Amino acid sequence: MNNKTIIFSTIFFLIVSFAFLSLVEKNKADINNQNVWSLYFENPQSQALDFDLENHSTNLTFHWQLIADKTVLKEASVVVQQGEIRKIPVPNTNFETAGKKIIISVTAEKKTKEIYKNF
Amino acid sequence: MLSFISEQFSFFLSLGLVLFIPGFCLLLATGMKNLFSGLEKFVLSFSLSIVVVDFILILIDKIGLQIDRVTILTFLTIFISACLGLYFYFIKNRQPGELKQTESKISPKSTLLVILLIFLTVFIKTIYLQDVIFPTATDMGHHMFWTKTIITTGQLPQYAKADITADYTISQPAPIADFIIGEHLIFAALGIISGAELISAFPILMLFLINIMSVLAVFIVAKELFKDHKRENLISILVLFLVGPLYALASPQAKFASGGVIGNTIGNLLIPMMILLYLRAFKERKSGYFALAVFLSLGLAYTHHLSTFVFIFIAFFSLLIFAILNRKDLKKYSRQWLKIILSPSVLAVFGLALLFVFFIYTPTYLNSKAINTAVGAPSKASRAGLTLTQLKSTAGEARFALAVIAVLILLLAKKMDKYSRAFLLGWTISLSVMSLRPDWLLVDIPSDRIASYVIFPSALAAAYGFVFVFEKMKTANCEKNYLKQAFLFYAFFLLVTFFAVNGFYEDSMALSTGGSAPKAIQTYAASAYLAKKLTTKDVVLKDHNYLAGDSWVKLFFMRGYNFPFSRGYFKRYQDDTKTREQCTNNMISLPNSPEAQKCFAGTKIDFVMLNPNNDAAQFNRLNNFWQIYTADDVAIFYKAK
Repeated sequence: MNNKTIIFSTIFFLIVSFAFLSLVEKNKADINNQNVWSLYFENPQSQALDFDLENHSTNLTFHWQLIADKTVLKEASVVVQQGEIRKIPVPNTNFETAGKKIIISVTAEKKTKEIYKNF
Repeated sequence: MLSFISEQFSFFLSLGLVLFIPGFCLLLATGMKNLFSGLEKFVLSFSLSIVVVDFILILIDKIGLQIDRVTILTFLTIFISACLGLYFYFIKNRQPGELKQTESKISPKSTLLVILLIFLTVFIKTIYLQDVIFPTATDMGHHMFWTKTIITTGQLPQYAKADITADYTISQPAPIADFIIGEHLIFAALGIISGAELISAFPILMLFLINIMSVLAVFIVAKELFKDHKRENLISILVLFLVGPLYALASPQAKFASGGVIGNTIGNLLIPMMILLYLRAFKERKSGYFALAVFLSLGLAYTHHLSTFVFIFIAFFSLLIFAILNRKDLKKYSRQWLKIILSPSVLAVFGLALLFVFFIYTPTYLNSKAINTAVGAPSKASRAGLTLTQLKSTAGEARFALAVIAVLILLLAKKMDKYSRAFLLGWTISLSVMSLRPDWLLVDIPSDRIASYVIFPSALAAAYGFVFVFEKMKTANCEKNYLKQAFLFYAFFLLVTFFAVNGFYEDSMALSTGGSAPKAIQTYAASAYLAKKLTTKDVVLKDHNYLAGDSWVKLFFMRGYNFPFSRGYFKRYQDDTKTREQCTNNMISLPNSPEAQKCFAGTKIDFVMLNPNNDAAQFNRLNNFWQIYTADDVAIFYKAK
């Protein structure tokens, strides 16, 4: 049996396979290919309400609302490019938070996500 | 694109440096290079490299140095130089007319067939792996935590984990025997040298490579077992067909590679290579083979306890069968074996083994508690043995059918080399008994794990049985002249078709659709966020049932194997044979219950990561939990103070 031919063929097949699989994995690992967006507080443990909108989806326009006990205190639209993390400051000195559930609600293309803190 | 190419180049270069060169140099140093064919050298170099690199890293740690790129490369250089020095000494002192291994001649057509089979094997496994190449598998996540521990600390890990106690507090880390050092060292070495990220394709590609090498190892063993058979090439090519493209995906093949079953995958490579070396040692009465076999056995013992346990039974059954079939000359053979075992090279390796086990690093499973767990009457239904139907399904119907015939033939095949016969019978029968009737052997290990080892010997036996049957039919046809050649041809064709359909059908059943990469990426993004926001006092709990890739979350924190704590599979909390803490279940399932409140207070868990589609409702109702992170498939709640 021509061992060298078999060995070199095996090495060649493996190199091609590995390169292909690595490329596939890189594609899957790119969160911008997953069409997702997320929402989170800058400081999860304090009473600060500043939040981040991290966009890896095809949606670019997001509408957010600041809600306290079902009352909309503030709302705005924001454009966030794909791959961008937009920090949105929400100073909570302008309203009373004590005893209230403060919700940040963000909507994009009929999909709504919420984060909240109970004071 | 350029960075991708340079990453690939770095990875392949590291593979060669870590997984081929050390083993090849060791082979040179033994002076036995010419006793192996090219393909045997290729697979043996790979196998030996795994063991060499493991021991080098253990030594580096024992000396007190950091395991990093500089020390690994330095020690590898010293090792390679020493081996080359010994090799040139052998070249200088070689006696004229020293025997050289002659490689068996085979037609270019057969070479082409082998290459085609290897291509199909790699191709089918690549198609399967492309859907699961993004790292999400639970076992792999656990293993990569320990690998990352080695990479980041530069030391061998202490295999220990903290648990939640009966009084709702977190214990100090206690030793665990679930992991063995050899499962992580080779990944750490490659990760350090190449710079490859662990949360990438790298670990699965490593296991894929080891799996392909194990297929070649079985092919090589087939050539050795049937070396004196006139249809040696046909049998070995048939074996390659049965372990390569057929049943390429089911456990323990590509599924184990994607699932991160590291120890088993390495065991499936080392066991055939050990059998090859022991077989050669006895057949040719050369102690060098035996020494190499013992070296690999030591490496296996440092890599996977279950594979070591299985090999002990294979060896015992092989010896027993040899003794029964050759009882008349047993005394003569015993003297020959003793001469091999008591040779300087073998004693040197035994000495090395004792030194390592008793003075340098003792494998974590070598304690009475771990041994008692594996030995004894089966303690659960899943360890009580498989049915014949289940074993048939594991081995593959086609392989199983012919393997049964072959075992019967082998028992009567007096013309076959006695050692080859004993090893093949011992390998097949030991695994069958361990799978079907573990209580006979006091084996207390999940039977489906044992059964996965039966694939390779059943393929070897099946190929032999297939060729034997057709040879007999062909001979009968010539002598009796009542069987037409056409009948033989159609029967052969039909049987090969049956094999192929059965094997490829199994492959198609194993193919997955899509994988859980999109969900797992969200889990990893959430973990990265939380890792940045945590203080040293914060403790995290996550869910295993609905969160994709959750076992990899701990790599983002590196605060212990059990950080974050995990709500495991629900059935585990109802396991009557093993009492478990209920805190991790209650804190997510019923966070407002009195039990859960005690758990939160005692453990100080203040962050909970879960899938909002399944578990958010019970937290949304509570005022003391804030939802501080949300994505499609992951949410994080904070227990406010």
